[in-house]
Amino acid sequence: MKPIIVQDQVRLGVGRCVGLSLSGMSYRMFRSMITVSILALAVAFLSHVLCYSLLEQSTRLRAYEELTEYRLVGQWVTRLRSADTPAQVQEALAASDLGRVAEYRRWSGASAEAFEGARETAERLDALYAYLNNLPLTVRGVVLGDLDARQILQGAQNPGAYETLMSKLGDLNLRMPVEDAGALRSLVQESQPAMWAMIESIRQGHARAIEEVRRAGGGLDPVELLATSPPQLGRAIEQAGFAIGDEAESTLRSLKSHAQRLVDVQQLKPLLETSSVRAAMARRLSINPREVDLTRTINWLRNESRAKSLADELVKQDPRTELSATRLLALAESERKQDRLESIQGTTEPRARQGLLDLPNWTRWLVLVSFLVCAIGVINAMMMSVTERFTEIATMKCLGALDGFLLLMFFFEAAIQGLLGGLVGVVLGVGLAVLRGWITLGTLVFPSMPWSDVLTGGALSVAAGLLLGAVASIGPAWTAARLAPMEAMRVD
Amino acid sequence: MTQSQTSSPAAATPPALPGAGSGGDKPIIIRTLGLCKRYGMGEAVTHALRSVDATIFRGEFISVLGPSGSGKSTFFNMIGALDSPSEGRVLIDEVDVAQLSASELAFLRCQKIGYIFQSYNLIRYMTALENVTVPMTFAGVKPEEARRRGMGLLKLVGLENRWSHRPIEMSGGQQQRVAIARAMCNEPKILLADEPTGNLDLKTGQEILNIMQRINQERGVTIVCATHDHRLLNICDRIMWVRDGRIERVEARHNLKITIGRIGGEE
Repeated sequence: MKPIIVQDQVRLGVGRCVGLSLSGMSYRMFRSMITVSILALAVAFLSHVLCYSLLEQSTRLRAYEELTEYRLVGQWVTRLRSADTPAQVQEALAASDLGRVAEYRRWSGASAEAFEGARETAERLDALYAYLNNLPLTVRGVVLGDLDARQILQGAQNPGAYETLMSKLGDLNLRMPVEDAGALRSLVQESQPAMWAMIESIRQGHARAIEEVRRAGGGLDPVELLATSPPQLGRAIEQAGFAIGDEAESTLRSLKSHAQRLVDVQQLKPLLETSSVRAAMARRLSINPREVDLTRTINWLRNESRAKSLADELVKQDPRTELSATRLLALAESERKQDRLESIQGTTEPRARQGLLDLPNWTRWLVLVSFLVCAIGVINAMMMSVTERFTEIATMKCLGALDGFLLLMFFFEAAIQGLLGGLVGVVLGVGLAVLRGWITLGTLVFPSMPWSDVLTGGALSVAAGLLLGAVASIGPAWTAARLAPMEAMRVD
Repeated sequence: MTQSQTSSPAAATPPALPGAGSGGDKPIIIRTLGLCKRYGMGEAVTHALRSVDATIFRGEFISVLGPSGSGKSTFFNMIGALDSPSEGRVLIDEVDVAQLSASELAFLRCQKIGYIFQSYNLIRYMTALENVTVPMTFAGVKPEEARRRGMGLLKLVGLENRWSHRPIEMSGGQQQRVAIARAMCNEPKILLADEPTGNLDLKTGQEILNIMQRINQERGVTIVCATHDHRLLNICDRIMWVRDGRIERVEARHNLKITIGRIGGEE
């Protein structure tokens, strides 16, 4: 008989490994499914938290942007109705707001030198306001009394008041941020009156400009003017001295759409607050007419039939009423949208566009904690599924399996399960995040979807699940594979 | 390929062999020298084997008898290279198992030794045929060839019709027969059986014993069988009694006086 010749064991290809892993998983389908579910849940949780915070953030930003447009209309309407207040003019001059300064220079009708002097004065006075306003509270009380910095300095144009102010400051051992006493006196008593005079002439110029625009617009109220937006409006506004910016066309277009809404609101709101509407609403809601307010009416106007019934009733009562169901409904919807935008935007102004790695602090904590939960869940599931197979590992070793082969087999199993669980989890997590966003934030979620960030977040979650699964199963599998077969069997 | 044929210096003078009369002229296949195995640490240490020197000859059928906890399973694991000894050496064909690399050990377990366990240790998610072909897969046999040989082996153990059944769908005897087919698939030189009939009823146990006897006689495979089962005494060549981690005695079967209900001095 031939003697036993010992040689190295054959190394097997990856294909055999994958085959064995797959057949094992398909047999232990139930167990595998539980493992995959745990993984999916963990990944879903992680990706949900990540995705939802991204979604919320971008939706808030979007709401803020839309609201800014609304605000812009309001601003334009105000500026086309009445001249800016002296304080507004002074502030704009001091802040060197380029658009405004150009407008004011045109309206002032003064020489460039005089205007520049006034602007400089405004700037220097602004520094004094800041100094006075930033004094410690008690000191400020003594110096300013009930007035604010602007009023005090305006009052100091009078020599008597100036002396009083200076003595107060002297008593407190305070010093205005100006080179010397002479400079301060000339600023307050000579430059300041000149500046206020300049501001007055600017305001008169503004009023003239408003009149010009009104004439060009055929005497319409600014809101209606913007809403109808006749073709020559842009030119008229520009000629009157307003700075409309480089993109006048698109600015006017966006102003037009929002102004139309404002017109509707202005026309319909008073109508909706009349006693006849209140009575009609009270009947429909079966409450006391006194309890009917605009919010209730707008909330009730949710579909066409309701709008139609209300409009019909109002027209029947007073045939002169110019009212249509569509207008009513549009008004209610735009009011609701405005409210929703305001609630989405929240009380604080959202920060500018944030990336995946620039989440707010609390969100970062949430993601970290959910990652830990995810990690523990996955590690536990994977370790369980490997530990209960120690006997199998031992048997395989008895039959001549190499350590590397066993490791590879478990690695594939973990990878397949991780990938599967990860994908299911991401779909689940992102889907839920979108759904939740839709419910809490409304349809605004869809146009403002930060797709690239969401996808990156999803991919990260899958990778996290995969990595955790692999690491968690490789650990015990490595331990088991390195043990002598019988030691591994005894572990049970 | 590492060919390890060198015999160790200590093996030059094999110790006197008790009961070697029947097989003294045969070549030795497994030899243990001062084999010790301890489990646990410190106070709780258990001595499973205390300096065992055993010799097993090529082609013989040897039964290892002993009560539970006597160390026969440990002995079985040691000579099967399934566990490492605390002290002493195991020489399989004069090759020290401790000096083999992991890969060489895998080769030895895969190709040269077949194992049969009391609890069958079939892989649950594989069919009978797949279970039989696993060691062939590890040995690098092509899938078609492995299937062909696997079916031949299932036929040998009388299970050719159940090849597609999973372990859970088979009786204990059938599972053990699959395990035997699996152990035999790479034509090993040594077949190690740890209580192969321990979980089986009398009739099924007898069938397993018959198969093992046939393998021993027709293929010349060395069989080492740790057992409680006295029927094995009818078919084996030698009997080794183990007690308290030591070999109590070794006897050739024809030297034993067999009486009804009592065999030799055992029990």
